[in-house]
Amino acid sequence: MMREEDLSEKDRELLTRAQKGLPLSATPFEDLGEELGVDGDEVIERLKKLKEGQLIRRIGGVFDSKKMGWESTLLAAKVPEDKFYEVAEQINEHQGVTHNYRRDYDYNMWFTLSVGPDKDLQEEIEKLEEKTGYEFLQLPKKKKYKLGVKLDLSAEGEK
Amino acid sequence: MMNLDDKDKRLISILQEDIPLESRPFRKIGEQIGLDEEEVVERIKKMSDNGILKRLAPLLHHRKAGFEANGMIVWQVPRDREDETGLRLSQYDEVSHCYLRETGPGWKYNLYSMVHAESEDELEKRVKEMAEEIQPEDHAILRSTEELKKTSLKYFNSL
Repeated sequence: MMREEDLSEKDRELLTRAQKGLPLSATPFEDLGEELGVDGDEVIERLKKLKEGQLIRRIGGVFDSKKMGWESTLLAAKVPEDKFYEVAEQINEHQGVTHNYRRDYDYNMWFTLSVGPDKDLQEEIEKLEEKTGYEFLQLPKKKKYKLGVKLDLSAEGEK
Repeated sequence: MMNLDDKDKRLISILQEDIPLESRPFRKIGEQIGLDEEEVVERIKKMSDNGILKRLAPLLHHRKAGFEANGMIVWQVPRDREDETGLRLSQYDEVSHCYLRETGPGWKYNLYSMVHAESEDELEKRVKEMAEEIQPEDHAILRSTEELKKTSLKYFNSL
């Protein structure tokens, strides 16, 4: 498995540029290569290798779920140990549950629920509460101050 | 919210996975949904203009060496210091995510930050330093001790 430390200078340059977004044209890799002074085939080959090396997880679209009518929230529940996995399974069965973690706190189950434009978030929460028999703490997001980190790979340490 | 027709939805369901690594990726995608290459590119551009598509890009596996411990830190901060504190926390390199959320019955914490460190001891030390600087009314470290579910949100997969 490749690590960020193993990247060549050319790969770093390519990834740093590509992470900002491929050109939206019929020939995105060729156009990206043109900006970097390499041909399109080389861009494709390098990206393939980085994907095989599992440094790249996916090359595709990043969407704004809110703009497409998706709603989501963080939820937390206090579940007794003898019911823990049963409740986890009931919650995880819901397609809109994307993350669920056990945390070492009195609220010990923390999960996110997202629903599309054809569904009502509050209704789905209530259905899940009924199914599990537990009331959830609802913690919808009010503001984002920082969301993940895009890595600047072009020159280590330089910002 | 933008109106998406069935072709847009199918296009989104394809783009949320991987785009083909070849010189004319959108020609191939078009064949799958009955659009020519030009129409695919036009629709992608429109989604980008509308902000529905943030970007087409490689997404990396984050595997930075040495960051083994992480915790969700919840902070209770007075209303009039929410923004100031959220922005301050975001400046720490160890903080990957920082959000403001609603409080709930019996739940007073309003700021959330994911903090990464080299070890559990280091995590506690860093959180202590942060607390000394931002002076919250209260805070707690919620470590994840078990991953119960982790997937990504899937759009329009039923089509």
